[in-house]
Amino acid sequence: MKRSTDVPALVTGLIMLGFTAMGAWILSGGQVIGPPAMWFATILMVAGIIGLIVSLRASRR
Amino acid sequence: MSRTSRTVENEAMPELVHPAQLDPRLAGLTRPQSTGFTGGLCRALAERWQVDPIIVRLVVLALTFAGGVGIALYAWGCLLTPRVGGTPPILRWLPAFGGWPKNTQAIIVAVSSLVLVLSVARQTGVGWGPVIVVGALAWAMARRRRRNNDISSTAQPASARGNAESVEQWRARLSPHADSPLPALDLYAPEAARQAASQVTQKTRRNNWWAAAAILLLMAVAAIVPIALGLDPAVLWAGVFASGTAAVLILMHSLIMRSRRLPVVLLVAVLSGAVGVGLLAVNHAAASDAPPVGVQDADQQHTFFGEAPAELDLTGLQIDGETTVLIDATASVVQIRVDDPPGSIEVNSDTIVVETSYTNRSQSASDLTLIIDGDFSVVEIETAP
Repeated sequence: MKRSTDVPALVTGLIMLGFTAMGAWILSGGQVIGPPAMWFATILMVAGIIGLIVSLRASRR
Repeated sequence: MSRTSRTVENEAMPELVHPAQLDPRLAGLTRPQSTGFTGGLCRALAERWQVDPIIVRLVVLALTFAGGVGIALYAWGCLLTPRVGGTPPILRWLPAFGGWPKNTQAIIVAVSSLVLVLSVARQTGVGWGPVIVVGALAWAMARRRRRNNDISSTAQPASARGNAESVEQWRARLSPHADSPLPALDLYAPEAARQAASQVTQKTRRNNWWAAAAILLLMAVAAIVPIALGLDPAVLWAGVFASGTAAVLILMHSLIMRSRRLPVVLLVAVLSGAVGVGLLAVNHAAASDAPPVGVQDADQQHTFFGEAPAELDLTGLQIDGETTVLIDATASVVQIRVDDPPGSIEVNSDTIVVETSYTNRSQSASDLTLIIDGDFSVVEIETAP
């Protein structure tokens, strides 16, 4: 039987990857354009959109 | 409608978290069809509770002004309750919601309600009281319902329940205890439909606790690497390495191991950790890039990060007129020892707790000024005996 993707884990992984990359970039001395909160919000939004797309596609199948 | 099509409908209707889990009188609750612009939830509840609809509406209105609790309850109540002969709106707008486990659904309902309520409470200045009262009430009702179910299922033999209960009533009673939707078997249906119905129970994916343990283990291993390499600040880099490892492993698991799912507890825990690491990294960078107010004039500067306890001995410090010492403490417990009580202590952060312990209260204050900055730390100032 074909299984759909584990969406909660997928979204969690994406958010964690984004946050970790941001944290590593800032810690290593990289400069962030604009306030960091905006970048964190962007990561949340992108992960949410991807999760929504995957979820809706799975439900359509 | 034929018998076969009814069976298919039953299979397609997923299990949803429902208000009946709080009050058995709400089992199979449906909202009336023609209710104008309102959702009709208050009228449906009033009919079940046998009270006047006005009373229910007044309670919802009162809860709305209590930090928006009424809005959250009404919205989720409408989303999870179908109109007569229809399907719950949440299944039309987010069909995948029905495929998630009931615990996950309950967590989503609780968290989204909490976020809404806290946002409204923050904007309106309402305290946490209504939220705590409603949460405690819901918890007590769910606990009572569970206990009653346990007692009734053990005290009475099945045969003594009477013959009047229909199969549907049995299904409604048993389904909250089943991990997956109860299969609807139609003996008159074609062979393929029966096989499909019997496979419904296999669709729910089980938690993969071995993978969760492996992820935690590899996170611990990854956290050691930056400490061994001597990266600075070691604690933050350890967090970054551990979060990165967990992120990659979770992504791989979600894409490859489709037959099992990761426990929600693990996801919430590691996500909280990653958010904390991100915030601390930003704070650390801000602290090192932009010195706080007064640092230009400071005679000494001491930085502590993730050190508990850390000791700073300022006894014997030459204080010539105005002397300023800057303490930058993040996630630390710092014990500062001075000869005489400082003349002035300036705290530039809301998340710093300062405790003073002077052995001799009659000691005169010195010209020392302590400027304390940072986050999530405790700074203890004591005079030398």
